[in-house]
Amino acid sequence: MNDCDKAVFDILSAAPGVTGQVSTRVYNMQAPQEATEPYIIFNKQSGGQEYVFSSGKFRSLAYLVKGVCHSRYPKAAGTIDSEIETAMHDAALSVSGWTTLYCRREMDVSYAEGEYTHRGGVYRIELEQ
Amino acid sequence: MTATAGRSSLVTYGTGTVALMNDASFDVDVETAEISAFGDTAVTRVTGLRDASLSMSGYFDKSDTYQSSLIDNFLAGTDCASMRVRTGAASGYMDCDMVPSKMSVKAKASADPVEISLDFAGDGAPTYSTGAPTVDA
Repeated sequence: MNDCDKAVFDILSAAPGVTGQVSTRVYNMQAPQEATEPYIIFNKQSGGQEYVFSSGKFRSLAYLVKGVCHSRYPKAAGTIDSEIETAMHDAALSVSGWTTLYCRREMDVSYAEGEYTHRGGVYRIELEQ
Repeated sequence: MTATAGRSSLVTYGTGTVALMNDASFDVDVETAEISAFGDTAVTRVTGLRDASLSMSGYFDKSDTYQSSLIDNFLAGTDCASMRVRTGAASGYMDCDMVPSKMSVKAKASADPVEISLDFAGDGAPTYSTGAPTVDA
């Protein structure tokens, strides 16, 4: 759902707390090979639809949004995660063709990958059409 | 044989479609009385009165004219004339006057939109007619 990807990107890119941490380095799905850290990666994890009779539908989407730092310690990525939560939690996402009912953090995510640490959360986004 | 797709169903009330419903059940019960007699080798019965009921659920929307009217009827305890459930795309509909029985509005802090369920008891004879309900929006 590209329109929702764009809405998430726009919210993150417009949040001063986020840009203060990662500048414009907000990437969908994966960061470019040459990207300098720290940065943010977001991607849709799952989604589904629910219908009402004859017309109208709802979409429920889960987005992982995380900060990535080249560090063995989680503090810096955790700081980015805090700014992501400030920007995303209850955000008024502007998704073309849909009305946003809800955008809230649902789950924490934290792990290490080699010399990199990842910290973020899964956000539940509910849309109505 | 052709099955009927449930997605094309509707619940109508008054002059229009009740918005945001995603589940409806129109039930008809028939009373039975046993009239077996001494010496019979099997139970025999006669049918009695018919009794309709309707349960519907979906998402709460007080801004919808018809859902709002039903909610108001529940709150006032007033009858709901001619509740209709269309059984698929224009194939036919169940119809009966109803009286409100139970309304439930469910709100959660999680992501789900506010839900509503409405239960009605029949007030007269249930019928089935072919074609789309005349109030079909």
